[in-house]
Amino acid sequence: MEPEAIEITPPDEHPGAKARATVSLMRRYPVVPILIVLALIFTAIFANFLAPYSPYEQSLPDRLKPPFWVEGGSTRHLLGTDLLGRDVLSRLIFGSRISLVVALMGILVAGSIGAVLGILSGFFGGKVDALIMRACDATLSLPIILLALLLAVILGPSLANLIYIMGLVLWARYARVIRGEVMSWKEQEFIAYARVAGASSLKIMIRHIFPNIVNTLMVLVTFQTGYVIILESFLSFLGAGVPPPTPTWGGMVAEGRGYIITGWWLSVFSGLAISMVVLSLNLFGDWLRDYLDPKLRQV
Amino acid sequence: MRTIQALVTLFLVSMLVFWLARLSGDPLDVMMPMEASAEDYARARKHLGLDKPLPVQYARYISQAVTGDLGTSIRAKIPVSQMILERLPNSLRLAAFSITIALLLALLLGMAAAVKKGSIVDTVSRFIAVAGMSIPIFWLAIMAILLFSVHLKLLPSSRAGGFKHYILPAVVLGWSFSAPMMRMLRSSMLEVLDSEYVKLARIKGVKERWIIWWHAFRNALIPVITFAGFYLGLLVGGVVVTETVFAWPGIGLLAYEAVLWKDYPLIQGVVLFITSAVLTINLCVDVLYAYIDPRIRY
Repeated sequence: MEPEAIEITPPDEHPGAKARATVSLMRRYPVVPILIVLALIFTAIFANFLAPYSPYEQSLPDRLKPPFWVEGGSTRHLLGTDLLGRDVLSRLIFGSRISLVVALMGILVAGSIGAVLGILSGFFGGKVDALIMRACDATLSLPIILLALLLAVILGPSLANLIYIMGLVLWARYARVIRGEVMSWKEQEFIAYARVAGASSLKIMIRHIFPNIVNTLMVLVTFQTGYVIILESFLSFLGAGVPPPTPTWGGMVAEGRGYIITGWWLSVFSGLAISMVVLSLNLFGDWLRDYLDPKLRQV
Repeated sequence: MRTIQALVTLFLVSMLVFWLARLSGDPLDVMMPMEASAEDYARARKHLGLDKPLPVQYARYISQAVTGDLGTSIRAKIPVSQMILERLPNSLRLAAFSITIALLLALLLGMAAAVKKGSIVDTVSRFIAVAGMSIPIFWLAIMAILLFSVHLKLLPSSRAGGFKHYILPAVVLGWSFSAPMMRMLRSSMLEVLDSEYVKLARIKGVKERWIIWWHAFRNALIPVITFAGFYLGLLVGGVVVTETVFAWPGIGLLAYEAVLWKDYPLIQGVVLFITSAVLTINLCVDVLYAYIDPRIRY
């Protein structure tokens, strides 16, 4: 095998160095994903002002109007209307609220349970560890979507239940990863010093171990937010999410499913919205992981 | 030791599922006709053994389940095990196709991305992987139907059938399933290629191709295999989704229907069956893992 030729050129004299520097800066900060996530948060907060119509306002004469650039569409409804004549754009804008709320709250529940159990498990080891890890195994071996579907039907479809389900289904991944981290941290010398200095176990866990796992937790949270949005949209798609007429992206895909020939815009835009947001979160998560902790592998 | 752990997990899961299935409301509400009287309810309850306390019902259920009797579906009135067995081949065939596609994608693109790090191949394959993780599979499925069935009229949009019926669901499922595998393989391959022994092999003048496929690839596979259980969970979830969208008569669709109908023996049976299958395969993977990586001993 020929050794690869190594090009040594001072960066400044390199043609197009400026463009390259911009590219590398773009690579350093995932600008587009960050903008998309910020846009999501912005639309969710200001949905009332941004949406041209109420997401519930029906108008049967206007039903199934296509987007404005298609023949038959008008600029009154930029992205067309659905089966009941409701404005698709407005429903899309209001739908971002559900996605965001479920994602944030679900992650909060799952992350808290997972972080606490993971720290306990890794810190104390022994029986506590064995018990928590068995519960973890059991949860992880259950088909998550099936479990979520089952729970959604049992508890009945509602926003609060959806959030609990996310927590119950997703805590195990946090616990597993954080346990591993804690196990390596607790062997560090500064923990031993803290103990010598008379710190209690609780204090060590909160003051000395937790700050060290925040990075890992952040990366996990970013990836999981995307996953929660997908899971939520899937449950809504199957009719086990937040019940209609509340607009949800997954629900909108489901509504359009039977009308892909006559009304493709019903499911195309909502699915596009989910994909864009989750894609951004995943790209941002990738960057965050490389930035905070290059050694941390797939979480 | 691993076997005992797996059995304990299975036991816990079966209890959980049994309890959850019961929380979903009185199954009699769904199965009895509107005009049924209170006596009809009592008779049906007694007939189905629903009047006994829950632990008794569970004990009876589990002792029958061990012999392969998972009860009778309330709605279809056929044994659950028979329903599962009828649908199973469809799901297995779909899964086999998808796994093949996923493995091919993951191996080809994952390896190419790692070996040619920073090249256009790397960028493209990373994008394919991230997109596969980010696009919800049900939407992908609908878009595939829209493009290939509605507009191009090339492929059938639903139900099982000849080879053509497999293409859309298998590709959709395979793609989303291969994404995490691809990323995993790439990162672990990069790590291995950066290791001391690979550098030593290079210094010794070992051919690059030999290094990649003999020294590096085998070691890069280890972390990928560790996550096999995780991928399997993804696959099961993906199968449920794909089957629902494509009206594919497999176990996933059965599970979805069971939940919709509140057919609790069916839910229990299906979830128990899927979970035991997943646990068994995980156990096999662990054994395989010890075989591939001799440092691991249970």
